[in-house]
Amino acid sequence: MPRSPLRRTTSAPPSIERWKSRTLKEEVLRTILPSGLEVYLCPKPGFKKRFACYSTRYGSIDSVFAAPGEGEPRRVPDGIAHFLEHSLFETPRGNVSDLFARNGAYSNAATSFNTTTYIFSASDRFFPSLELLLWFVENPTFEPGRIEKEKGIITEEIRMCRDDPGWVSYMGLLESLFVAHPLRIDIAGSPESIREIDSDALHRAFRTFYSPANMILFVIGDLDPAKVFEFVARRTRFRERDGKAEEIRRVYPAEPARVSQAEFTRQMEVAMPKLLLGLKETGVPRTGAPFLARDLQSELALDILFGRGSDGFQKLYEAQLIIDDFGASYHSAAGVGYAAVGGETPRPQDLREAIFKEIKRVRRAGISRRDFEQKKRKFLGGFIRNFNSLEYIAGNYTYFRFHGVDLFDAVDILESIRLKDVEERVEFLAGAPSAASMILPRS
Amino acid sequence: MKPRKRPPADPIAFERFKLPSGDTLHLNSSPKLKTVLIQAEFTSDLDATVTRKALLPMVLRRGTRRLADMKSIHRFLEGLYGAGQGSDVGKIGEWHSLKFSLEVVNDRFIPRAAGPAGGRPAAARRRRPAKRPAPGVLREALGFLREIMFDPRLPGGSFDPHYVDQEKENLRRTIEGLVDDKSHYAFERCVREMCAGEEFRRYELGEVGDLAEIDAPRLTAAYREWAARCPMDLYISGDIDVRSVRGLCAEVFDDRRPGDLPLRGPPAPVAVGAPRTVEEKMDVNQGRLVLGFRHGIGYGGGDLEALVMMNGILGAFPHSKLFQNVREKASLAYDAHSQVERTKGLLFILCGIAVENYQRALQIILQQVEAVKAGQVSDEELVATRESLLNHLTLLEDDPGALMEIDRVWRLHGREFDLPAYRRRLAKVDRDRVAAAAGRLQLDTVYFLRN
Repeated sequence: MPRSPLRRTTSAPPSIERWKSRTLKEEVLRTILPSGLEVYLCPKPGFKKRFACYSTRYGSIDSVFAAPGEGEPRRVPDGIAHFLEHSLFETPRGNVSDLFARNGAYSNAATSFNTTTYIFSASDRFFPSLELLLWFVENPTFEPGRIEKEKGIITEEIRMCRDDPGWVSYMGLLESLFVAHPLRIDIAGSPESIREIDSDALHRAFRTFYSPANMILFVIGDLDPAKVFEFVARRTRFRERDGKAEEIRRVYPAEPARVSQAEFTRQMEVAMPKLLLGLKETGVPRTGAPFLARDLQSELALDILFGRGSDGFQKLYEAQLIIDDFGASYHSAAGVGYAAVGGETPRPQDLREAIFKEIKRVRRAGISRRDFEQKKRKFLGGFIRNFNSLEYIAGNYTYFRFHGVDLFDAVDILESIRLKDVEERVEFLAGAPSAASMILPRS
Repeated sequence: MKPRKRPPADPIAFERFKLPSGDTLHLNSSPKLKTVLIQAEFTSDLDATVTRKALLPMVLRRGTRRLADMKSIHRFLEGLYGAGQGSDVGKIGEWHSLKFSLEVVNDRFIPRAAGPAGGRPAAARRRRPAKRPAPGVLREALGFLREIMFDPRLPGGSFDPHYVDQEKENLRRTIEGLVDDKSHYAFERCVREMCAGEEFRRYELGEVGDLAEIDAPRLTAAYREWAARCPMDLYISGDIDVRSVRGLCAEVFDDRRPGDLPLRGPPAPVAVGAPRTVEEKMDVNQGRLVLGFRHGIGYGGGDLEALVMMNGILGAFPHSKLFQNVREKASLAYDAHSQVERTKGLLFILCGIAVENYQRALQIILQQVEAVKAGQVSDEELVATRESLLNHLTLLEDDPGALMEIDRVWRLHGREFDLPAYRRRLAKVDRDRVAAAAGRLQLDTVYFLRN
């Protein structure tokens, strides 16, 4: 192993920990408040933008759970995590966006399969906005009249997504790949499922998952760490450990290795067909370095197979089976994972065959060391580039912390990946249960 | 750490130089960035050549004289630590824009053990603290960018017909694929209806109907004309030493180009008759409503800052009237916003609604426009909009790509973007001037995509 670019030190004041990456020339500081809330700060000298994201480890896949003190886990209406995210923006003092705007700050939020994140960005007058962020995320009011209005808005959001061929094919793929796993449920739910949501259901979800030890606040910008930590400690409503995070029982059904259906097709108003091929695996590491390593190994394998500089991409492009939007990526959550390969194509079935053929060809022919080292170098460069973006750092640092691993470790983990690991990933892709999602033009 | 010399000037200002090629070099040193961004920008008139110009970057990226195919190009870029290379075709009023960009990791982040492709000896690296991009890396990047634009693969003096045919097909698919994004499609359809007799109607990627008459010899001729005559603005931003990068660019771009392609002036305002309504049916879940207005306020005269404030109050932000009234109060839409076009003098309002809510949504939208015209703007709305816009301006300093674009657009209008002065002017806009700017809005076209 080469010298580690990562140094972990604990320094004064005693409650502040510090991580440094020599490769990235970045550092992150952390304090854990008495409530269990983890607060991170990444200093970015010279940047005008200051950015904060407040996240909870709660997303659409947490669809069956027992709240602290409850007996049997219960299933909740699909789309409730996302609905809750919308609802927090409505406060007795008015709409949150409006309140941020008065400080010149911009706010937004997003719900994913396993997290919900509230963000704002500002330049001057950062602290009033930080106070606002803490306040509106920690103090909900679920007013029944407002809940009904939100249903109209979210119904339009769902309709919008249902006109988006990218989203429809993506959800079609997940529905086909997974038999029981809640990844197959649309994050926003359906117009029917959100009708069941009421203030009790929202309160129960909030009580369960918006508990300090289940949350992370990440702040980044040209800021003084001690000042930020002290400010948060004073302004957060969370005072002491409520013990809830430890008590949350999330139930993810056992997912079989097989797929739910081999093919999903939908006719839509599109110009060209679209194919997404999914390759599934179970038993994926859920946390720690193995989680991150699996992610990187898979992405490396997919880039060697189908990236812009690959023989695979060249061949498919020359054969006019693909256009620019063709790509491949790997995702995992709660123990299951999948690779998704595809894009627009005039002949989806031919492309599907060609993708399989290419995976099998590379599995037979093997990967050259030169190619492997080149892709690692490209990944390292891409990673460094991403560190220009405050949003990238905050979002990804939080995401990987929720999975028990430090984003800075990615440099080391990338370095430690061997050719054999990537060949094993090609092996998985060649033998994985698969499903294809296709969008076809109306004719 | 040693104190570093900071550029004395305004951190967002570009230093400008003439290159031996006759083109203009714009340099900005920004110590906080981990990468160096290079953008070569070309502006020409938006006209009947739009399709073949949109095709050019697609064919150019297929191969250069040295790197004969896409795979060689991407392998080369991977060797430069996965340099991000791209091209962009766009529209600025009735001008057509081609942009080639390259973003390379600054050398000081490259681990010493690995080094760049053809790395330098470690001793050379030690002499100067490794904090600025090594001339080797930047030189390779600049050389590559020059190659992609000015040294294409031309077997037998012409583009490879096979590549041309393939890219024609890809462009056709991309143009037709606009319909896949219903909001974007509705917007372009509104533009086309509203500006039917004007150059602005043209979609930046061109027309499928033009493709038939394009072949390799014709495209090569168009390319030669473009490569010789279209002036280039080369922008570079990052932790760079202005003097040495200037020297490097002068070495790379040393071939004299005439660069004498004439450029028309900004478009003149167009008179508006009675508003037109256009409906189009498609099998969609959600209707898309687009309202096109003309305001005729440009960079030259007019009250640009009041226009920007007015758009902010009306619909640019979540706190704006459109979002608050169409979405939050009436619960009719997920998204409702406005966007302003300053070169041609247009403003668009866009929202996605259930088809049966068309009349109600239209009525609420027009009420918001009337309210701004009548000066019915609260202090909170004024403050929130002003602060949001000022914040946005401050954040520009972190975004070299956006700064390049703003600088370029202002210069196209014969003006220099002076951020501090612009901030001051914006901060002074009051309710009356907002109302006056709104008073210039004339509804031209209502477009509705429905089922």
